[in-house]
Amino acid sequence: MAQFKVLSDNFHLAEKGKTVDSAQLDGCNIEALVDGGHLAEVNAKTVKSEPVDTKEQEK
Amino acid sequence: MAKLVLTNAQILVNTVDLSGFSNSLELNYEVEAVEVTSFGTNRSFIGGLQNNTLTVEFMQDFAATEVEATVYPLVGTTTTVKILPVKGTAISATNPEYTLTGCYLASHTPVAATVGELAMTSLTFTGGTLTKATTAP
Repeated sequence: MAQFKVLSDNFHLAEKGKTVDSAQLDGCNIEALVDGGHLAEVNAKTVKSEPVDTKEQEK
Repeated sequence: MAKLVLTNAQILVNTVDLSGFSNSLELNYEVEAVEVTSFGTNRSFIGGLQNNTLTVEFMQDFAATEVEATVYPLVGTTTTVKILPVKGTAISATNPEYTLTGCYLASHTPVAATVGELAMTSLTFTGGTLTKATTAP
């Protein structure tokens, strides 16, 4: 379940700085809230780069 | 029972409180009449689909998270709009909350005014399902 941090003062469901999940946002247009700067997704997946094997390179 | 002068309505568009930017709203609750007239009767109807419309006038504001930032991404999509006649007063039989779920916003006029006038945008939300609550959830 995706979680979102509240960024704006006029978001009615929760205060600024609090976190809401997608279940609480049922019926809302989440994409528009993110686009409008009201919410930001937290724990968004980040792409990790593969560790470089330096020993392999030294050979 | 008291007559109500609308002075402090609450308007939540997609859960964002835009009450402070509006000076006019009109919520129309309609259930289409489906004709079931048969031979030997007069005109008769039963209730069909809800055909709701909500028209709200907003004073334009391009500041972050205000009118433009909230409304622009909603054009061409569906959302939920809530109306409470008296903001700051508990939901009750005398202050019912109306929720229009799944309503569609077809258009928005980001810039519209003549010289010297306040820039306004008139939004019309159509369709969706209207519910009326008389107790707080």
